Amino acid sequence: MFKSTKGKLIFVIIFSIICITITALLIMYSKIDIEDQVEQETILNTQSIQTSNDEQGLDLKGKYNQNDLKIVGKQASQEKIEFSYFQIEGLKDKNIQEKINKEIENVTFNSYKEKINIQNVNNLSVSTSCTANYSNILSLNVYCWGRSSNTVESEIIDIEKGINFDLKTGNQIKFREIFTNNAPMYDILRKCAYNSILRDRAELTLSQEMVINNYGNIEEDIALVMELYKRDKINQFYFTTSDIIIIMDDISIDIPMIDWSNYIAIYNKYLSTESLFENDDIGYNNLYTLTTRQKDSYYYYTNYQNESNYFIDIFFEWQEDNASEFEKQLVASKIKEIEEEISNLKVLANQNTQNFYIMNYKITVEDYFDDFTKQNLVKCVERGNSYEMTVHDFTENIEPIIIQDNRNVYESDVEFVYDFSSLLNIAPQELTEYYNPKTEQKVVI
Amino acid sequence: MNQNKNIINILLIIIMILVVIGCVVSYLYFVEVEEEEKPNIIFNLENYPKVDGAIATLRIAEEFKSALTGEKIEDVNIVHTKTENAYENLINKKVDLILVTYPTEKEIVKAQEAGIELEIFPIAKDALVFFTNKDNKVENLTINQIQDIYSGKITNWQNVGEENIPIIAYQRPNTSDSQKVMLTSVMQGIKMKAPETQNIDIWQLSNLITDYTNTQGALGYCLNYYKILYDTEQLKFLTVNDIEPTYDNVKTGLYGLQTEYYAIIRKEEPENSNTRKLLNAMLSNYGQSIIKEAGYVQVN
Repeated sequence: MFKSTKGKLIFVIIFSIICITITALLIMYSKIDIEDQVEQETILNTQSIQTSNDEQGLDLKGKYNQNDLKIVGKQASQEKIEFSYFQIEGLKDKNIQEKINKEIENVTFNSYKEKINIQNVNNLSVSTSCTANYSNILSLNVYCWGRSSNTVESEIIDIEKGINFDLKTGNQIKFREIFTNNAPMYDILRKCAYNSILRDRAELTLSQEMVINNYGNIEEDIALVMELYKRDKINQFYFTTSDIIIIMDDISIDIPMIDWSNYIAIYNKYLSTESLFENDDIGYNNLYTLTTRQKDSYYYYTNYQNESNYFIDIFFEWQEDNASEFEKQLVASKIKEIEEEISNLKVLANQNTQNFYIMNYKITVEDYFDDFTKQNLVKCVERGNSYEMTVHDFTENIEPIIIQDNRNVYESDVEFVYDFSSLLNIAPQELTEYYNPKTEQKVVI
Repeated sequence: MNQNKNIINILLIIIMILVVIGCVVSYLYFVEVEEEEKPNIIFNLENYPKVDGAIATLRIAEEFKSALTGEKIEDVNIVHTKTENAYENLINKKVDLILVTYPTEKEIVKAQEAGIELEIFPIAKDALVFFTNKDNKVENLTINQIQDIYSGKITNWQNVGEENIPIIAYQRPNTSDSQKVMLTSVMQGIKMKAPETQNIDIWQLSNLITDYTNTQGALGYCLNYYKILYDTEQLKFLTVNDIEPTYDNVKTGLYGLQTEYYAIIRKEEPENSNTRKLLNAMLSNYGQSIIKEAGYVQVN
């Protein structure tokens, strides 16, 4: 075929070049293939992270409504176990209501089964409580505590679970859904996990000099949270109006909504144009975001109304049990007075839309024994005041104080008697009156 | 004349054969075709040894269980109870094999007290990487510069040839994996300055080592695995002594700031036990290709 050596040499060179080129192309092709796979995985990962359709974060000056849902407490017991839980009533869609109630029972009665064998338990209490009931969502926390008997020394059982419902569908809410699309999830989870773990370490290893002696492998603890997040396996969490709590095996990670408000979708995402509830007078309306209050039995009477140009916040503290007839009449007349005053305020507010009206009182009625006269009296303390200002002044200066006081209610001794004296030169007034229940007359002490 | 021609012909044929062999070898080297070494599925979900470990090795454990049982990775259900618990579980014979960082003195003593002898095998490498905010113009730091920054001699990016911005050099607690490598491989006995601190108001606690915050002057570090903690798109990873912490540079040791993860079993494990079969699979070439697939660097 090749007559000359030169021809053969050229053939060998061309052959070598072809071989090397094919090899190089094959290597490049396989590398590109691997890179494509990695890229695809990354894209898939990013897509799975961005599942939320709601971009609206939390308005720190905004308001929200509690659900008009009735929470009915239930008790049950089995051998060695006491259950305390609740069921919901008042959803228009009875199928969804039933579905949620079954889930609540299910999570309550099975809460301990994954972790402990009931044969090894001395006693166990399971408590399921509602931690959030607003904006068409329901969140609950299940807590199991007791003692096991599987070792020589009995061990404390401490199991916690969380479950969250979208009341529109009855479906459980996934962790990723409660954040906006643009939420910096790595920063949120890392920072919150870090701070929660620090608090936990402080509790366990704090020295007298207030120094943490052992941080443990905090990096690894946080990595576990991130691994769960990446795998979409943060399944155990619940929330309140102010915090999201992730339940891990040995620690709870607290995400304070106030720190990440722009990225919290909970308040807006599940709202509907039409009410989901049979009634419209069960929950409070227009509460400030990140605040809460319960219509529980602690206060005998409350009245909270937060509208465009008036704000009413009244608390009446009184124990009805064993109260005298006079006391009952006194309370009834006080409430009547309050409601008349509210009506008048609303008329004024209606007539003067540029003005803002506030009515804020806390009234306590209780039995009182006067040492000096040795008489049983009825004491009535009224604290608070009514205010009038422009809508602008309210929005700019007064409302932030009310919001802050409501948010601090669990951290300090705020009793919803607001003090605007630094701005208005009017402090809350305190009026104390004593009554003789026999003569039904006021008494001066 | 004919004899010369024959010699030339033979030489040319030899050259062609060598070129073909060279090409095949190069291809195998670069794309690391391991098909022939791929072992059969040697376990099922029931007889797979009990594995525990660090969170950093969770992916490795999942990949192995998936590959050696033939199950999908979503179905293998591996739980790692973290380093400290994993050692406890191995010593207390609750698990058969653990994937962890090298045992501390405390863990070695615990094993000795329990009469357990450990067999320790490196299975994967990880590198300590340095990072800063993506808008920071710095690209490289030398080991000496890093030592000077973390000992407090250098406090401004200007001193390493960049803008006039104070350096916020974040550290990690001594008990963390990254800090151990930082102390041994980077600081090499040089005392680190006091770390950046934060307060927890409601506890009135102060001087707590603070977490990395990605401001423009920030400098942080972590083992490559712990990049999982960060939105890496917001970070810039630095070269150290002008060497990038790439897979090849870590594997060859050119990027020297590194550590290893280990597979550890009890020495008492019988020769033909499933635990040893798993260990051998991990140490095989095929096992090492799984390590690479899991995103880690193979040991040599």
